[in-house]
Amino acid sequence: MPADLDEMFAGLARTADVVPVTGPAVARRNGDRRRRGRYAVGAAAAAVLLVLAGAGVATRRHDPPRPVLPATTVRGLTPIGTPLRVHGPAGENMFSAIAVRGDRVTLASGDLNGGGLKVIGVDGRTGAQVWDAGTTASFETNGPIAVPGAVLVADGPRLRVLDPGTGAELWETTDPANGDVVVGDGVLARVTVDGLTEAFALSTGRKLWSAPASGNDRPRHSTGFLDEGNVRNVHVSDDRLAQITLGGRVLVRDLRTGKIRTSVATTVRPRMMTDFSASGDLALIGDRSGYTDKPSRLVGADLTAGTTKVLHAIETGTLGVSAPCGPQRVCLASNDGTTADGNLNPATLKMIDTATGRVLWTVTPADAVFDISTRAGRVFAGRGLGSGVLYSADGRDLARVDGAFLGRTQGWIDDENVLAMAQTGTGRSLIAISAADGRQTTLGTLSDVVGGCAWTSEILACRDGVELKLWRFER
Amino acid sequence: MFYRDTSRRLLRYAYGLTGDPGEAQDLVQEAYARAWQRWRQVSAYEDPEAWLRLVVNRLSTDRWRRLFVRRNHAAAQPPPPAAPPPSEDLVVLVRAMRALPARHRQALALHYLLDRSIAEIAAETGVSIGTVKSWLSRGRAGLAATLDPDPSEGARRAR
Repeated sequence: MPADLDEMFAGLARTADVVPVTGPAVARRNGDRRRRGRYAVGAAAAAVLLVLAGAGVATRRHDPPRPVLPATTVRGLTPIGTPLRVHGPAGENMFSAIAVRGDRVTLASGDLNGGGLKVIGVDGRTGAQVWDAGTTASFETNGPIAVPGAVLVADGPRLRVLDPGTGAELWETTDPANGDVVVGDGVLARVTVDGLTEAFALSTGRKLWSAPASGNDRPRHSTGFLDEGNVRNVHVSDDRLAQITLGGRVLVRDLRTGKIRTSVATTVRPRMMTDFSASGDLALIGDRSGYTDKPSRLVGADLTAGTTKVLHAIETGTLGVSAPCGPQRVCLASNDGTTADGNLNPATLKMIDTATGRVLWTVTPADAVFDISTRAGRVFAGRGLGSGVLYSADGRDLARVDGAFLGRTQGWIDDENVLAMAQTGTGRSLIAISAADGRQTTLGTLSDVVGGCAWTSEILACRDGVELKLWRFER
Repeated sequence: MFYRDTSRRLLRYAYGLTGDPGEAQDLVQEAYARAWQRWRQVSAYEDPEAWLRLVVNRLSTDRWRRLFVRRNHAAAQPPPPAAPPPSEDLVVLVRAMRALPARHRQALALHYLLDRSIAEIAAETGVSIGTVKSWLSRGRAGLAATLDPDPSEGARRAR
C-alpha cells in the first residue's frame, strides 16, 4: 500500500492517463449539431451585418507625422498590395491564425465548425499569395509557427515542416505532446514528455543525434535562448538547447551535436508548474511551491560561471512570470506575502540585478502580469487580453493600454515602439506607443471583427473581417 | 490542437472526480461538445481549459445531466475502447474519493492530479484561499478516515 496521498494520486493519474480519449470528431459533431440549432435563425442576419460592416470600414491613414517625434517612432501604416479574402465562412465561425517572419506571411484559416485549415504563404513585400500548402487534416488553434528557415504546422499528431519560400513540405515528425520543440541554427530538437531528446536537420529531417534519458536525468522542461514570442511548446534558439532535468541539473547542449556544453547543478526539483527560460548566459527557474503559505523562489543559473543564485525568495505568496530584462537584469511578477486573513498581497513587478540580487525598482500594477518583455531596458508588462503597461528603464509608468481582445494584439515592434489595440465606437484602432515617452499614435482602424495580428519590425498583418491585410510600418 | 493539448489532463481530472473511466470519457466528450458549441466565447476566456473543468465538474455532480449524457453518447457512438483494470490502491482511493463532498473531491483532484496551487484553485472555484485550504484539509481527513480507520495510521498516510 502506498505510504502517502501523493503516491496514491500519482497512481490514479497514471491509470487515468491510459484511459483512451476518444478523438475530437464526436465532440465537434455534437457541438456543431447544437450550434446549428441555436444559430440557424441568426446566421443570415449576422452575415448581412458583417457584409455591411466590411463595406463601411476601411483602414485609414492618420495625421502626418509630428516633427517632435524621433525618427525611429512609428508614425503610420502603408498598405501593402490588395487585401486577400480569407478562407472560411464569414462571421463568427471564421478562424484564422497568422505568422510572420522576414518577408513571408503565413496564414492558416478555415471554419471553426470543422475541417482543417487552409495554409497559404503571402509575400510580405507585395501582399500577393505565393503558395498554397493545401488544407490540414486537423484543426489547430495556434495556426502556423514561423521559425527561422521553416514554417511549422501542427496537424493532429504530425508536426509538418514547410519551406517558407515554396510551401512545400520538407519533412514531418511526430508532435511531442506535452513535450518541447526547440529550433535554432538549422536544427529542430524535439523532447518528448518521457525525456527522449532527438535532433533533426531542419531542412531535410535527417536525424543528427539523440539523447535518451531516464530517472533524474530526464529533462522536465526544454527551451531556447531567444524570446521570439514562443507559440505552443515551440521555442526559438541560437545554437543551444537548454534543459532542466528532474534532478534539477541545468544542461546546455549544442543543438548541432547534442554535446553538453554546460551543466549546472541546482537544488530545484522541477514540476509541471516550474518556469524555465534561458537567455544569454542565464537560465531562470521559477521554483514554485504551489502553496501560498509556503516558500517559492526565483533561481538564476549562471551558465558561464556554473553557479546559481536565489534572485528572489518569498516565504508566502505567489511567484509569477519572470524574464530577462537586459544585461544582468531580471524582471519578476509576484505577490509577496499574504495578509493576515490569508489573501495575497497586491501583485508587484520588480527589476532585479542578477549579479547582486538587489531589487532595483518595484511597481504595483493594477492587475496580475501574465507576460514580461523588454527592449533597451524598458519593460512591457502584459496583463492579458490586450491590456498592458509600459515602464521606463527606471520603473516609471510610461503608458497604459486597456483592451479586451483575444489573441496577440500587443507587443514590441522594435526597440522604440510598442503595438497595441484599443476599442473604438465602431471597431478597433491600431496604436503605436513610443517607448521613449509613452506617446500614443493611432495608426489605423480595423473593424470589430478581427482575427488577430502578427508583425515584424517592418510589416504588420491582420485579419480584418474576412480579409487579410498587410501594411508596412512607416517611421 | 487545443483538444490534443488539454484532453488528457481533462480526462485525468474527470477520472479523479468520478473514479469511473467510462464516465470520465463521457464527461470529457460532453465538455468538449459544449466548448465546440460556443467556441468563440470559450476561446476568448483567459483559460478555456478551466472552463472545461467547470463543465466537467458540474456534470459530475448533476446526476440527471450525467444520465442524459450517457444515454446520448450510448446512442450516438460505439462504446469506447476498454480501459485497463484498476489496481487495488486505485479502487481504495476511488472509493474514498466518492465518499467525499463534491467540493472536497474537486479541490483534491485539482491539487493532486493537475498540480494546481491553492491560489489557482481559489481563482478557479471563486472562493477564498482559506476555503480551499479547508476543502483540502477536510478532504484529506475524509480520505484518511476511509483509507485507514486507524487514526494514527491514517494521519501518516494522508499527509
